[in-house]
Amino acid sequence: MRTRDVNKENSIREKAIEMIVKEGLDGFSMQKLAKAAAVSPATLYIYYKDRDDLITQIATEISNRLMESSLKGMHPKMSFADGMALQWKNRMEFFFKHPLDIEFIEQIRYTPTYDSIKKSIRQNFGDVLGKFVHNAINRGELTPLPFEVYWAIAFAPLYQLIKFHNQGETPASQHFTISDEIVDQTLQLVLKALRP
Amino acid sequence: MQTIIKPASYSEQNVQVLVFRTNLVSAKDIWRISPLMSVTPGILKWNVDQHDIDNVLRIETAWLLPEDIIRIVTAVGYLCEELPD
Repeated sequence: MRTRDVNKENSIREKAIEMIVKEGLDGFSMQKLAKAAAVSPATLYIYYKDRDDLITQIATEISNRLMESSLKGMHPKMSFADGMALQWKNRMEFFFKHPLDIEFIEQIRYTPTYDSIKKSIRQNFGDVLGKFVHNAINRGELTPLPFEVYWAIAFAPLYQLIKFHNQGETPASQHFTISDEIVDQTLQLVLKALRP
Repeated sequence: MQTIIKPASYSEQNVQVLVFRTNLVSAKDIWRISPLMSVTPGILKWNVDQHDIDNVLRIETAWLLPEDIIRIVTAVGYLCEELPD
């Protein structure tokens, strides 16, 4: 009889992420994955109902981990500056530790699969980050803004720096490596922009 | 001493996953086998992977054998072969 095996499950997941990041969703099939993970296609169907289920489960697992790690140490009553510094640190850590996971999420971001995990992301946002932002506004540390404007200013600069780092070059320079000074300089400007 | 008699239920441990390569390609094909799947005692859950190349039919059952499923599906004219473990 076939039984679940956690190690096997993890190695299947790793292989799937690797394949989808490298070859894209279109070229991905259960049979190819089975071969790459050295299991039978039958084994894959013990863990996953079908191809969509596999992609959804993996994406959900990654986004839960990303959310959890970006909220690590966060408290709704933290000062806005401290909370932002912590968020930036947490997010950067995840991006550098799990680059493939991030690329995987980017691959599926515009597919129907992603719709199903959006709900759980929204829920988490409201619970912790919503309160954090709300408190900061009430204390006069943050300008009230539409969510999209807030988000674009608060996090897009960090993501752009990470992108430059991953590319290893920028329009102005052939070599770029992210550093604490650069991140802090950017963060201070972001905080300044968001202050009332 | 009290003896607890457990009913012969579908305890999680007994459930097996059987998988078959088929030519159930379209929603119409799946719609055609759907009544058969729901009237067959012993099929706890079933689905067809519509987004993968093998059109895998996946069955959860406690006691049915692969041959049982193959007989049911081929009887209505579809291809159905067990995927090797």
